[in-house]
Amino acid sequence: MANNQHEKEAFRGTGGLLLTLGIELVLYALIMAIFLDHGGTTLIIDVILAAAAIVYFKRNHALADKISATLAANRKAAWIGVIVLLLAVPFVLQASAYWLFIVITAGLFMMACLGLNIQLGSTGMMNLAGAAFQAFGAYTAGLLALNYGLPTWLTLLAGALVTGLFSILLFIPVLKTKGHYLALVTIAFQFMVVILVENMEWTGGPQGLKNIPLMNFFGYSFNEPLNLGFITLHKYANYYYFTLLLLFALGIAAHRIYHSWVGVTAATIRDDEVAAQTNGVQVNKWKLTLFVLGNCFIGLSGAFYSHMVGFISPPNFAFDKSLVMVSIVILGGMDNVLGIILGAFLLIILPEKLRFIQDYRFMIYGIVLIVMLIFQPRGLLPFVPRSYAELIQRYRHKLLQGKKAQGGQEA
Amino acid sequence: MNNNKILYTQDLSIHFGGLVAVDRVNIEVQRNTILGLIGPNGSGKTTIFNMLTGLYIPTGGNFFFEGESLLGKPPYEIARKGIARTFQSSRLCLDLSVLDNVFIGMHPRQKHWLTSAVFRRSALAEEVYQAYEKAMHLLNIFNPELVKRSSEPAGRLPQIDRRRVEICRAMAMSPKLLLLDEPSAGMTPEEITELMNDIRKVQQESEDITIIIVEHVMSVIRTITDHVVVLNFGRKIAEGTFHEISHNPEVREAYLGKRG
Amino acid sequence: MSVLDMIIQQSINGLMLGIMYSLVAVGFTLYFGVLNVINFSHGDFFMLGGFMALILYGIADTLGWTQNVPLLIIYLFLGSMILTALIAIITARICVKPVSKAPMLISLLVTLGLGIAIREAVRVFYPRGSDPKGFPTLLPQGSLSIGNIVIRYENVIIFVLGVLVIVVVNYLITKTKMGMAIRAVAQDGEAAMMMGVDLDRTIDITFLIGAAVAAVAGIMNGFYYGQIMFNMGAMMGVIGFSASVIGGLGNVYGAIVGGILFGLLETFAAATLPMGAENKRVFAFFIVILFLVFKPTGILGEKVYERV
Repeated sequence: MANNQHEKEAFRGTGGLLLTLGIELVLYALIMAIFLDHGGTTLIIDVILAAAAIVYFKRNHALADKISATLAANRKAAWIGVIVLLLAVPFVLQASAYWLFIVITAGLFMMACLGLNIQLGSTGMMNLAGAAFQAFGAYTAGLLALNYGLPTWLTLLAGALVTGLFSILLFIPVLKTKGHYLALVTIAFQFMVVILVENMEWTGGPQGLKNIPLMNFFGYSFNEPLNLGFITLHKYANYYYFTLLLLFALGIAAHRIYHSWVGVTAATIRDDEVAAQTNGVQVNKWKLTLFVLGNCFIGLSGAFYSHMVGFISPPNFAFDKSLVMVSIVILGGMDNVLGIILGAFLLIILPEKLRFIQDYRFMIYGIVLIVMLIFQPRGLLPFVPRSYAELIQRYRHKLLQGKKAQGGQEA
Repeated sequence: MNNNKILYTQDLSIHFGGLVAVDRVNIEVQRNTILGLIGPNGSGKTTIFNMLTGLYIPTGGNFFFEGESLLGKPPYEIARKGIARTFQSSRLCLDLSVLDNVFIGMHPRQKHWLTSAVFRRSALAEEVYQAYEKAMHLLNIFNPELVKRSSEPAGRLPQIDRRRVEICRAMAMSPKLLLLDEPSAGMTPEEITELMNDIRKVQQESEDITIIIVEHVMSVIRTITDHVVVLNFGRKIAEGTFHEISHNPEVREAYLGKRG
Repeated sequence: MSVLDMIIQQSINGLMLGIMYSLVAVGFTLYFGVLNVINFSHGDFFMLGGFMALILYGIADTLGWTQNVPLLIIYLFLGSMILTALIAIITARICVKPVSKAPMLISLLVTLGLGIAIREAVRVFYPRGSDPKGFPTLLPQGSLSIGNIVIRYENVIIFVLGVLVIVVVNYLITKTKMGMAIRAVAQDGEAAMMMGVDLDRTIDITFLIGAAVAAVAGIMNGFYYGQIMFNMGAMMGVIGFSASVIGGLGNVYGAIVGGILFGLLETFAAATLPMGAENKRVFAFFIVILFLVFKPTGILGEKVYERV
């Protein structure tokens, strides 16, 4: 169960560490250059480099394996590197607040898609009403803040929970329909929600809600530039760091759920409901639990959005957005937390950079979606079998203490 | 005597629309024995399994497990009472690892769910470790090769090993009654011999286990069963030891068709 | 206006709208039967039908062919049907057929993606494609009054035309050889192939019929509302799919019944419910969800026993 094999093949010692950080730094520079470059040249160069790298590593499996083993061996350092680089993003994008905003938007999509992935990727429940559920979160937060002046932390929490609560509306359809029919139910629901929001008075109708208070935590307003003493960052930096924090928390939670009995149960329900039932799984209970949980994530992202932009209206939550969310999950890789991150990056940030082809980008988006799904239907980062090595390894000492008598057992 | 019957049915029947698939079948299964369920295609064997595991609700009759009627109980509850099964066309989750497939069999016994998964990893780790050891133990009984390949997707295994994993999954539930639905389907004669050994291992492994096996291959039925029930067109037409039923004219007719 | 008048008036309006929905629903049912795929881009074939007619009208207008109105209308319909069907067949070959064996999720997303691509192509390549486009008024205006009930001539023509198309489709599917092939493939694809049915050709013909009929609906929609827009296919796709499901997916008559029912639901909701005009679709979709949950096989579908 241990990673002995990997450790043998990896570049060891300082060399390995430097290689790990070097790779991260190069990737980071290449990505940041896309934002800093006003034209699209960097993007094109990056795409060519990425394609070349893929072709090269496909032919040189040994090197690819060695590098990934090195990364695995320097896990801790790799994570610290990633965190430092992510923290540095607002500094790098100091001069281009617009891109910082786009990055945050992508972060919110990631948040929502982590939830959608629990439903669609892990459990196999189609949900094409992601944007509608986001609307529940956004309007809950907006209305609570506008009408009752509730603090941000409470409206965010309420946004997530109320969205989870509204999942009840779809409980029966989720249990009784599958496949195309569930897809149609959720599409119908999506349209119903948007039409209703548009026609009700207390949601502000087509004009939506304006002047929603921006985020403010215990007196600290996110609307002020972030003053660190030696440098003053754009106000979006506040939102960026908060998104990052939430994403880390939710990402770790999602990752842990995946590597647990819940993940195994969900996957079995997705692959074969009958087999799950005959093995004692309460399929209905789990479907509902995970459906609600996923919607809480989605609702939170909606609540966040309304407090960041301060203005929400029905078109923000149209069907197209649901479609984008589902595309992120499928394109990135179903049931794969890292895949979501990659998918959101590709589908939210890149099209934004493709503004130089302006009008054509949605058409290209549709075509890319088709091509990708025909040639790589399992997504860019396909599902990999769960491994419990990490979990058992981490608590090994504890486990061994309890089981000294049977110490001989190993794999 | 009653205590020795682990399962019995009373006029168990089901019809789909106008089609009567199983018609007033009475079966008794003695504890710690192997019962063979045979009959031509479409005689209702798998349908009976589907009723016993709660996948189909009988339209008539009743069935009792350990003296308790399980009629109308949902499949998960029946599984938790101690009835496990395998499927004719193996129903493993082929994308999941061998280990995950066995783990799902332990589902009813697992105690650490969402909160432990996120916040109490050490408690979960302990449970995972125990499950892991149990799974490895089971896999090792059937084929030591499976232990080595336990983290591979089940879809990469050959047919016989998939069936073994499915049996392991069922055994992971520590069932009292195991229903094997045509375990030899798609196997070579050598593999079938191995399979019969596997089924014996199942019996040795557990102190209290009763098996009902649906099978077309008569050598399997002859070698391992204690008692055989023959179905035809949804009805029980004969029962007894293999020797008895193999000399029963009605059974021969059902299998070979009327002569002349 | 008495209640009875209201009911008659709304029934007429509902039938008119419903027949249009039926024409779109027929395509969904046909594709599902033959390829086992829900083609979410079908609503965009409907939209294409409208735009093709608009383009053809533009050509006719510059050439000065607009004197003979009946001939012009026939030209618009036939031309648009052919062009739309061609595009449908090509796109089906490129992207729908390759994913018909893939998991349902993939085919769903591919056809949704195809819908986006078609819609956006129209928006980008049609001059000022983002704006609503006025549709020529070619059908006789004016209306007929019987008591309190008002019937517009235009609507009568549209309704009759819709019924005519349905009769033709029914004839094609039940009486001709290619219709037999379509039904055979829908019943059992492999068996049909063994009996010598050319699967590829059958798929082409299915898309030809489905898209041509949707194009008719698209033109009718243009006449009815007087304007069309590049993104109108999205909603129509959902309505068409809903209608085919209410009726019983895979059953052509079901699609027709479902379409008319959806039309009636909308008009009656608009007339009777508070804020009905705005929320009529909410009501209709609610009924659709009820159908999906409690009678997923639809009105004319047969009960299927799930095999375990």
